[in-house]
Amino acid sequence: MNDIAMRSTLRPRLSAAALLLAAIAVAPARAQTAGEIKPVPMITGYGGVFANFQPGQQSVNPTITPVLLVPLGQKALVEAEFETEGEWNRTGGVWGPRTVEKGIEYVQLDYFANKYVTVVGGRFLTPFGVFNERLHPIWVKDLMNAPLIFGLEHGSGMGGMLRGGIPLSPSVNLNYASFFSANSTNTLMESERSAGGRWSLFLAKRRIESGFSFKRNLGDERFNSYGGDATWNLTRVPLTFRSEYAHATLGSGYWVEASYRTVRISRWRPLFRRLQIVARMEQFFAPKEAEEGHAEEEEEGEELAMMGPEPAGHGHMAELPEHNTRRPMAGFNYYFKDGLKGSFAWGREMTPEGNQNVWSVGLAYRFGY
Amino acid sequence: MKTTAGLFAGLTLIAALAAKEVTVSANKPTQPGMAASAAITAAIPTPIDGDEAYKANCSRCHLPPRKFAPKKMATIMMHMRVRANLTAAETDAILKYLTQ
Ligand code: HEC
Repeated sequence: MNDIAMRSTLRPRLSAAALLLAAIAVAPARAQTAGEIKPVPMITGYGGVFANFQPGQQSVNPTITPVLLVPLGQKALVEAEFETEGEWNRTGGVWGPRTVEKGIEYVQLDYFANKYVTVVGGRFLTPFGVFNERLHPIWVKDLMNAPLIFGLEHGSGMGGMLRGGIPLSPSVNLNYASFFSANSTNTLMESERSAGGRWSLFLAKRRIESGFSFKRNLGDERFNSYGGDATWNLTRVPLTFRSEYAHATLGSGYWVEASYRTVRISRWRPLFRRLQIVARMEQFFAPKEAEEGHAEEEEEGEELAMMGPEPAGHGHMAELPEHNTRRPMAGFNYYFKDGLKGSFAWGREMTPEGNQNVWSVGLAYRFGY
Repeated sequence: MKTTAGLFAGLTLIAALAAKEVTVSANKPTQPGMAASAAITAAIPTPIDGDEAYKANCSRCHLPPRKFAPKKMATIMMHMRVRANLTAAETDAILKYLTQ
């Protein structure tokens, strides 16, 4: 290893060490507890099936994803998510072999260092944007089709993270998650070395959150990714707006989504009490090389698109489109009961290659024992 | 690269130190020379209203799920404290609200 390469691997390690030292230094002797009630170990998680239909290509993905939560007293928590996802694809009218992917999405130790700082170590979902960390479980996301830009933010890494919330005023909270993650050689846990985080302001009274994310990939390919996100839960109507923007070497794009619970509609109560209507508009801008159309450059672009982080799970959902793509989608969720929903969505995918319809149906169940 | 690592360490330290400032001043609000952080503390409403904190926080990412038994709710709140970047006070207030 030459000197420069050595220094560049050392530096992020130093900053990770600085991060941990800083956290330990500020931890007061008596850490904060989450109350007097003694927490117990739990198995939570979700299962379900998602089917996607496009002309010439159909896929069915069943998944079962248990999450293990083991509190170590009231100051620390071990949490781990194990994902098993089946993939069954039909291309050009022929069903391919059924494959099953297993992987550890995250396995981390959370230590509540003080009121405002949580130190996280292990393998964790990258806190970049909101979809990867917050919305990816099928029972959480309002449209089961992951956004086109999901491949830009999707991933998890092995390393350390400092995160928490700090009240800046009675109505403004600063949320932060700064991470460093190192390479992992385990094939089940492939990841790239990177550093970055997400920082946001949350206006609790207005229920508005706006965040900025940054990530620097420190592997052989060095590049920066950044993004912005906003969430608004309206208080007077059961309506939520969410949006995200992400920019990276592999492409850029945005999505804007509105979801409306029809609980207030007084007619047909049995239906509207349990229904949610969702609409999303999104665009993906492929890197120039992939768009230029020359065979050689096209190949380069595809190579670029394939370099995207592709850790275990999520299958096709973490791939990036090869071309500039626009996709309006609309759908609904029907909540049979708390934690059990059926979803249906329709969209139109528009690329320079042509336009096509996308249909999806899904069932998601969240459990907790 | 150098700037990135610096920026990262810097932002993290600021966050950590800011947290310490607030913690220290919350413990000793009358300590001289702590005017700035005492002002921050004064601005923080205490105690936090559990009902309000629950409504503001628990539907940010998903529909608010059903309640669980108190001990399980305590575990879930530890989990959500990390996920939602809640402060200790918010976590305690919401847990209290959900288990009463
Ligand atoms: C920042 C987004 C976010 C916020 C805010 C949030 N949750 Fe969650 N919640 C999640 C995610 C993501 C999961 C799924 C965790 C997983 O599967 O890894 C989850 C899971 C859960 C579960 C299932 C059990 C578990 O712990 O996995 C419960 C119950 C829950 N949340 C309750 C709450 C409550 C109560 C609040 C209010 C304090 C809250 N959530 C706020 C993102 C959030």
